Amino acid sequence: MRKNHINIVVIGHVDNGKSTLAGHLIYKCGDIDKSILVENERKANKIGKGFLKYAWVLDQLYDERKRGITINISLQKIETKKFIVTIIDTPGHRDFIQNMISGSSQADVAILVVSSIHGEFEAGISNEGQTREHAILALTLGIKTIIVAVNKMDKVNYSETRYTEIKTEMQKTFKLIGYKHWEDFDYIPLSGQEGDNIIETSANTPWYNGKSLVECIDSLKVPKHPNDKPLRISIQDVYKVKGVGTVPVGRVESGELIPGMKIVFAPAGLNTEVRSIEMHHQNIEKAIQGDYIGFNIMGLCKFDLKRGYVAGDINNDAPKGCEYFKANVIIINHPTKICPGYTPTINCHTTHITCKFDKFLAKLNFRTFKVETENPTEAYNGECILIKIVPTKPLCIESFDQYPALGRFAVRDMRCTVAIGIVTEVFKKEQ
Amino acid sequence: MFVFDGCLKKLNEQLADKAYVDGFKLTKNDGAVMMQVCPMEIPAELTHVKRWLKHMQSYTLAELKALSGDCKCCSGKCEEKKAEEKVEVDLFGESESEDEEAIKKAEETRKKIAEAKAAGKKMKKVDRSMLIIHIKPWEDTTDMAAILAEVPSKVVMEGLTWGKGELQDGPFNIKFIAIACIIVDDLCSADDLCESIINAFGDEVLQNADIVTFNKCE
Repeated sequence: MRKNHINIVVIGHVDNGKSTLAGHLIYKCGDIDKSILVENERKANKIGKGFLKYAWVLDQLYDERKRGITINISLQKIETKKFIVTIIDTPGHRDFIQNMISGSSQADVAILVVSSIHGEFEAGISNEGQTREHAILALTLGIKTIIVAVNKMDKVNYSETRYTEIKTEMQKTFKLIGYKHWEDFDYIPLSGQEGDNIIETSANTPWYNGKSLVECIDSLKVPKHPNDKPLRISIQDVYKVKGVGTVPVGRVESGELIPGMKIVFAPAGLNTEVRSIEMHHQNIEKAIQGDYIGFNIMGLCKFDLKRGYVAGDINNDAPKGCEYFKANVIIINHPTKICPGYTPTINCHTTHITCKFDKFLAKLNFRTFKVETENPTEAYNGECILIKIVPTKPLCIESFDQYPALGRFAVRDMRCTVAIGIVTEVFKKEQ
Repeated sequence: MFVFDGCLKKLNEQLADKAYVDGFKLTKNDGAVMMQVCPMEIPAELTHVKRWLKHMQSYTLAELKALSGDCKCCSGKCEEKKAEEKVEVDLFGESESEDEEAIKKAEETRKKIAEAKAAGKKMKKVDRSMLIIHIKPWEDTTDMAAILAEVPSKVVMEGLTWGKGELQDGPFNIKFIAIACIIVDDLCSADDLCESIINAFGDEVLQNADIVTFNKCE
């Protein structure tokens, strides 16, 4: 059977051991040959950072660069019993969030790393810390399941009391932030450096009768394929292929596509019929959610279609362009304040379009999304505002509830991600 | 690494009349000790250590992992020296959006790199990200192999280092480029990078350059 593929993003406060844990996972489950590991250990030890050795595994590329060896694209992948897992270690680059919202590196599950060391955990969970911030971002990105890695247990003598304390605190946090299944999250006491409870449960934590990290990943539910939902394909590229014709390529975000189906491209409203579908150079009879496909269509040329278009079934909730939409926008990084009339670029699925923040409808509570103030006139960092947004050009966008991948966006201004948003309501153009 | 000198001598004495650290059976201890000895420079007179190490290096990692026995590892004397280091990971970009701030940061990073170069091989810590980018043409007839060969020379940016790339099969005979690179976070914008790839070859030749993975590079 084909193993399912999942993306896991590793998040957490600075210095709580993200890279070390990610490195250890890859070292234990990934296919890394001995010479590279020894080489990395040697280097790590040389500069007196033996404890960082697993973080160094991820550094492989840097070394390879000098030696000119082919970059192993599979490096970040590990294989468990049930899944092929891509591990994303979150970088500090300012373009990363945008890539995560609109790009293909959408994560299914997050591993939230918290340090169990006294002081370090508290720093992360404090208002200035990133633990809480990342948990909120993960929720906005559509991640419903979080595995909490209570890291550095070796530094607190594998204390059960400390573990329970952290668990209780984190549960409170998740509940407040608004995770629906916060009670079902796993909390694993582990050590990214020593390797406790990563592959197998460790003898150092006899009081812990839960699963190890890898077992935990294996027990995840297979990402649901809501094939019962109407079809949506976000178009990424459009090719002209000799002897075939026009080939749009994109990701099936929901539903399924079969040859012979009549589809429409929004927001242009172009109708056509699908002749055949290919994935990885192979003809397929059915494409389902998550598939990255190209399909051959009749009667349209490559100039008719554009990146950012959305294809859907003509007869089943056909996608349309939108007049305007309402969205919860969380301002994460704006130098001053934003006011109604602000016109930034919005990056949503494969497209980016300039949109006007027409009207601030309400200021919402960051955690509960309950209305705090009606019709605010300005908004600052850290605030969450319900805004009526009007696109300046035709745009196809959907509500986050119905089609998550098409209902979240990054707000870009001055080449920075200023805010992130989720669409609550869309007012479609009647055609 | 002078810290370990005493330890190495002790190991040498121990190995003088024994095949392995624990005597005459290969155990986990050997693996553990090896990991620590590997990076050290071993003085020529410690012949026994050298002989043992040479022997140990003939094992594969899998074999070493499968070894039996408890790991006592030099009874803790060889504990790695743990130098605390501040890893500045400014995740989810708290970087200030004000241009001045960004420029200042870029300046600092530049300085760091210059210093590192001046000081020799020791590279100071600079936050970097590793990207894998897909570069896609408009038509199946475009010679992607030629473009792949030219990318590293035609697209040059400060803080950008190209890795190797390859051609991959898309649907319907389309070939696209998958290429890896490392960028220094404060110097190199991912948007600019994608744009300059397209501009280098013209938007009538290439239609998109998309980042497929965006990962932290320690």
